[in-house]
Amino acid sequence: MSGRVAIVGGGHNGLVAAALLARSGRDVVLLEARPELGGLAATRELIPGHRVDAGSNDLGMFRRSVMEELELGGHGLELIEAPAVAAVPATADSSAVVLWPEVAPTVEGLGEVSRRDAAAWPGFVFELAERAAALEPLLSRPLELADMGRLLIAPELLRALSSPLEESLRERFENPSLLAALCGVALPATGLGPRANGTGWPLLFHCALGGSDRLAPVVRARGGAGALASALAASAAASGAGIRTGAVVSRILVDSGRVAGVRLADGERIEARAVISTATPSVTFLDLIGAPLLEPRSVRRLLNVKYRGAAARLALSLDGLPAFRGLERPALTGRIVLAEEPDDIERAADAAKYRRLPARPWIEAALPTALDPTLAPAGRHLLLATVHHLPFDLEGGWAAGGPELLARVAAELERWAPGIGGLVREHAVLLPTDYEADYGATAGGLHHGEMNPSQSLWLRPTASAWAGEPLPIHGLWLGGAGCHPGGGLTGLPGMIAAVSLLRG
Amino acid sequence: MPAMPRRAPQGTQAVQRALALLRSFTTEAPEHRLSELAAAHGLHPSTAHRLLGVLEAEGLIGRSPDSQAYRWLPGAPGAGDAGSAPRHNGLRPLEPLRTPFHRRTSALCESDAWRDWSGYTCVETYEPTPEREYWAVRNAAALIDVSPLFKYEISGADAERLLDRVMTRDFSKCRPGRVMYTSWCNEEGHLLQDGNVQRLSRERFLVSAAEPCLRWFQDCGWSMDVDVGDVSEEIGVLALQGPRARAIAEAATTGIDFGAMRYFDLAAGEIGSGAGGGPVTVTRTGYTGDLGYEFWVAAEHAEALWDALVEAGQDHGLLPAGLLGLDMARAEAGLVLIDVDYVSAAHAEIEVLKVTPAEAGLGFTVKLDKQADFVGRRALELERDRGPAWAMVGLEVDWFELERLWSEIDLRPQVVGQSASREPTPVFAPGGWQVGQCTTRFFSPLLKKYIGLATVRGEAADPGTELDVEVAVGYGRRRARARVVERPFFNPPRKTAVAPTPGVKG
Repeated sequence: MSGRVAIVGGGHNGLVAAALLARSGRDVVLLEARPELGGLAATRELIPGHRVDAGSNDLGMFRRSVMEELELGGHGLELIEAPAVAAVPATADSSAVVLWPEVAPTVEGLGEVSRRDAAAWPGFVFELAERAAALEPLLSRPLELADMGRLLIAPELLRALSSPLEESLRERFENPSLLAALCGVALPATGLGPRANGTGWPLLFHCALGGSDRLAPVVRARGGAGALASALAASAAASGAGIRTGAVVSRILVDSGRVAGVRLADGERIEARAVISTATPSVTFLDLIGAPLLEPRSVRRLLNVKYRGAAARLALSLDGLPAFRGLERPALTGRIVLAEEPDDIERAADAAKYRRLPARPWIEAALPTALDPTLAPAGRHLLLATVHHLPFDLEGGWAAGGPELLARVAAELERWAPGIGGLVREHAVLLPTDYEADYGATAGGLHHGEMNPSQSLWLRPTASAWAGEPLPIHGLWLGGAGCHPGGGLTGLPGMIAAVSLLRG
Repeated sequence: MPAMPRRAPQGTQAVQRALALLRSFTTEAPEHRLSELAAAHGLHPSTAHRLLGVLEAEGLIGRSPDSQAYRWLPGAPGAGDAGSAPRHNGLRPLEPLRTPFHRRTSALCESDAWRDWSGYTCVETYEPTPEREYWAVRNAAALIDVSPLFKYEISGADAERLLDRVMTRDFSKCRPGRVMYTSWCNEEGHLLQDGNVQRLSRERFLVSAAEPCLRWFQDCGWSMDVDVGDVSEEIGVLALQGPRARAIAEAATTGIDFGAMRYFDLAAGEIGSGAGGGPVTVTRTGYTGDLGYEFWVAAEHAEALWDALVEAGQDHGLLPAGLLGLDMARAEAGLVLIDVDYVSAAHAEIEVLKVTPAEAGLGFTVKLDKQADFVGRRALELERDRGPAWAMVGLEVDWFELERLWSEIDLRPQVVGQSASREPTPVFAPGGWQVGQCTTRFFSPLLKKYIGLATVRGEAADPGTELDVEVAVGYGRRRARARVVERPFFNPPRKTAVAPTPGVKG
């Protein structure tokens, strides 16, 4: 048997694992089903002449040490830090709120909407940074038993991560737009409304990996998120990794409880001594390995994983910058949160619970061309409107629900940026069903398993174990967002898989 | 719920049933569905429907507008709270379940000795003591209602595959028309349950189990082409056990060649001597170690089956037997009982209580040479190499030793005429430390011996090994010398003989 490592999935995690292992001299072959690399962080020409990010495009949480180790700069990756973190435009009743990475400009802006909130902001950022710093070591390597103790002796941290986010925020702040902005940063792709317990966790997670003493900034790759995948692939290839696109893995081959390789949909068999799967736990175990090879309790555990957190993305090609009320151009470079108050998000989550569309969807918008004009033809702007908190199993189905959702999104955009409808030239849509069909995101959940405390840290699969037990198949490692530390453009699951495999 | 009066005067039965139904409606429980009322009162749904119709027409109860449930009408004369039913000050006992034979068994249960078995009300002994019922098993025939067993129908193209995945035995070798006794384990090879599996056809099996395990089968069969259905409440089960069982079974059914039925065969036939009596499946199985059959019948034909067997049994000394008599017979047969002789790994509170099939005396059900990978296989392979830590053994307590211990308090041994004790007591190396526990023990009326089932350390398990077992002597606890003996204690040739001559003891 060869010492080859086969990696299932060419998303950023699979690519990180491939590059790190190849650099350590391992014989690596990476297999990506789609024609392009990057998975949920791919950039596609969904609108002719436009570079549209299919999923995540914020590299703020991506591990800098991995970038350096893999010399991604030398392989063509150029980072652009957005001046703004998040902004909520003004409405008829409220002024705009903009959050910046540095404390001072945010305080200055907040002073105009709430003196109390402005005064509370520096303390909030300091406390968040402190808690994030306590959490960060637990997220960036395989968990150890001692880590559990670290968490248990930090009651404030435990309280913050297990509480409802809105409740925690209201302990300091009062302005609805500010609260909405922070919820808009924390809750995308979680499936949880801000009043749900455990929603403190995603904000801490985000800040632990994306911040330091500042509020975690938005960082983009020039050319779109796909540029990260390209740089990773170039780095991996330079170290000798084999990278194949259009290679659909249909089976992880197991022989006497040991990984033997993978089989592709066209019948080709690839021998491997180890397999790193970046597919969701459900796809990896139930589809690629098969329930009959698993212990019944593993099957039960897999069936119990929650994959809520479906989203839809509408990409619009615009004739110019849309006029979001009260926001200047620099404020448009980060997340644009289209929710007046946390309850707008809560109501969307409520509707999703009952398998309905939100009456008024809340939208996480981005204008990547505000930072990087090369993403669209000259004179055009690209607006990515992501609608979160959608039910995957929509009542009546997505064939009928898709057009209805688009109509509601269009109405919302028009409300926040009057006249935007007249700027639209072309559009493209990705629905929750597309995310599952195109990217293997089980139930359309972008994080490969809902990001809440009940599915995080020790409760999430790790590269080599789950629920305190080694993975049931020898030679199998998990390296996708479904395992520790979780979803988002971090590179960490892939890195931890590679490190765990090298340690043996 | 008041028990049905045993012997009602002619013509008053319907009145009594209607009043009992009416008393079910109280302010605490104002609404009932037809099916639950029928089950609670042991009535056939059509009978319950007829009686409720009269009560409704008389304005004593109503129908809920949104559902098909019957409702209490506030102020209606005679309804539960105002009636003569005892008041419970708001406390209501949990309604026990009734087996499909309940009307028959309750009419005969003179002792009023009932016991809960998986939520069902079951007869412990029909007479004040179990002796006659026990002797019927050994010398004539006994009829035992074992309907509370959980029953699961497993069907589909992958039915055999699922059973081979769950069970330790090899179901590729179980032909349609056969029954297999098997164990099933968790991932660590620890015993979950033991039970019988009937192969009804190539793609259809019926599993009987002492405890619920639907979800376990479903999880084990996830993604397989198989249906797992809980048919526990749809099927009544009667065990007919004893040397006269075949003669009675032949007279009570048609369409089955009992002479050709081997031990652990199954056959389908009809109830009664003519056609149209209702279908019944008969397995040559039982929990007594004697000649015997078990009858599996749809609940709606249960009473017809009971009546046919009782009628056929009149000339053969057939008696209905309760669970105490059954327990004595199964102990003589050396058959282990879940939650008495071993604890299911599904609810063992501590690790040390969990046992492997071999440790529970069921090693013969583990087929490590079978093709299929079954749950617990790897752990059991390791155990095979290492040897089981515990063994299930038979113990025979020295009678003279018992007499000596009791004589010290001027009594003769007070052990005769008692049912089997289930209180675990320690077993020691002679004069030494504890090597295990004795979980079932009693004085066998047939063998005239004080015997027991015990789990002991592997090194103390060889037949002939002398051990001390703790026995109660008056108020004291003493150690009595016992010897490890082979199980079963009693194993008559008639149990497995093909075409035995009816009436002749084996």
